[in-house]
Amino acid sequence: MIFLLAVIGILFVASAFMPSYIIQGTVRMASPILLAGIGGLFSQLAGVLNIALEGLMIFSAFFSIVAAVSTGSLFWGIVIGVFSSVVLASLFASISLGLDANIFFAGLATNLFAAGFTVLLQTVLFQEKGIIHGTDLIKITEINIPIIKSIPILGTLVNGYNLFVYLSWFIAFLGYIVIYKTTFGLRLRSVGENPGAFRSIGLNPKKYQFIAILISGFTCGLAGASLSIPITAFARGMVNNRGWIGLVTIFVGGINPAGTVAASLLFGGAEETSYLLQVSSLNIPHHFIQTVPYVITLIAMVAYSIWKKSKTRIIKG
Amino acid sequence: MSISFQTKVWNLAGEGQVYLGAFMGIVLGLQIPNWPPVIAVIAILVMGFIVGSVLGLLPAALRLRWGVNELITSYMASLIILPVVNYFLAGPMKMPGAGINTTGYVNKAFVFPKILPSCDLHLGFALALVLVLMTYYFLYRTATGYSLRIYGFNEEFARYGGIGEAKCVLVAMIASGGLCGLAGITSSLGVFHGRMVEFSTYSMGWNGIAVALIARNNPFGVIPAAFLFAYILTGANLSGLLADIPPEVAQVVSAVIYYLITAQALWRIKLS
Repeated sequence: MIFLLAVIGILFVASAFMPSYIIQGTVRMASPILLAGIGGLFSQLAGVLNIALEGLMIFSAFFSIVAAVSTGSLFWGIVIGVFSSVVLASLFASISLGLDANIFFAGLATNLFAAGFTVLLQTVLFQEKGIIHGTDLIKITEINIPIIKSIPILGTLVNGYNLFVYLSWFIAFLGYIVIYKTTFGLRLRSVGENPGAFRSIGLNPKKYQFIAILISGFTCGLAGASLSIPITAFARGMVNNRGWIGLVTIFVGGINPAGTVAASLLFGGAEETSYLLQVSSLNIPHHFIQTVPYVITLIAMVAYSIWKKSKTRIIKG
Repeated sequence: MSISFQTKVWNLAGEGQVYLGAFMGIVLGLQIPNWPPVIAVIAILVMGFIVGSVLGLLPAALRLRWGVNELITSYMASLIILPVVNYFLAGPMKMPGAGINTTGYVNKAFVFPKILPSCDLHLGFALALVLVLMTYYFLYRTATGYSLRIYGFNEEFARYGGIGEAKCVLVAMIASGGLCGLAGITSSLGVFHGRMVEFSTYSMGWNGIAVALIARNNPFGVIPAAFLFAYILTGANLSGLLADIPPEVAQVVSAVIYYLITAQALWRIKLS
């Protein structure tokens, strides 16, 4: 929670003297990472390290555009994209939980499958390996909130994003409520803590883990759609490891929703930096700019682990 | 890969290790064109092994020192390495006048000779067989290999038996990373005639995981498994040339292999 307040504080201060497009870019870039992170958080709490987030996002990014192009409606695109991601999540969950597959290999398999299968379908359906465009589709617009719009700093921070950004905040808030204020959330957390004890009171841990993975599928579905729907196009590699970064937000945020929000804003900032360097006049080779988000992710991951370790050492005395 | 998975240490940096191993090996090869071929080739191979193992050492050290999840750090390390190598291939190390991003050729004497004249089967294959034997000997006939297997089998038990976590994780990651690096440089010296081409070894790291899985982490099983997999890949590439099917179909096939092999319940049904 302190971490979240600190990051939001930094954003507030930064928006006072930085151009508003940088702040908005950060928040916008953070939203797919946040969605993936919240989904991954559910399965992490249930004791499942879900490395399939990336694949789930790829699936939805692809199918939402295909559906949007063939139905001509963005709404159905999003619905079908999210549905496809949930279907893939249930495949992943049935293989890893139902058939006792190693969760890491099943996760890697899901990522590989999604990456390969979407390109395969793209070639077969569209005879096109590059980009699918939905040129006839109307683009979704940015939402303007009447009163907040005119408040100086708050206006830049919370106004003028598309539907998905607001949805990601809502999902994060909803995630907090479900995890901490419902029976389901309590049970979910206890599955991760101690599956044996959970079984002894007559509940099935696998059932809760299955549901948690389906929730990951749902949020990653939204995350994937939020990448492809606003630009009404799908390109291979467009998810660009955001699922993995979403996975890292869970750990860097200390396995709770507020921390995940903060960490995703941090990585959103990293991606925005990478983007700004790319369009800037500085002559840095694009190969190095590509690595910026990963370097920051790696540093954040290590820094968090160091901090956590020193904290446990203090507690132990 | 077999080594690290037997120890249950996750090396997801295979992609980066293969790529960096191939690149640094060739860079070294370009610096020493006048050395006697045998010594030069050995130096190049050692270079490939070292850079691969250094890239494996980093996540291992982070895990041991601060408990950072090696699965994520190794994957991130790999993601950082790939574009950096590509930068050198596209810029400073690029062969002048080449249409693709590639380094120049190393001295022809360093290139692995072909075993069969009609196909690409080269000396690297013999090297791979020797390495399989060595890996088997290491895992099943030495004390260190035994510790690694015990550690992978049951971490707690290994600790009670006095087997150090540090040693197992380090050895596993160094060996696994180093062998990945060797894989990269071997393919550059063999298949690519002694140069390093951009994207040339992409997805080799992932395929290594699939092969280790098919072989159920047994070093000898790796040989037929690698052949099976190479067959699938060649088929996929051919189908890409002959029909409108992209080579990505191989990715789908390997994903299905991952699924089916790790789905242990399926095996149990068959046995009972």
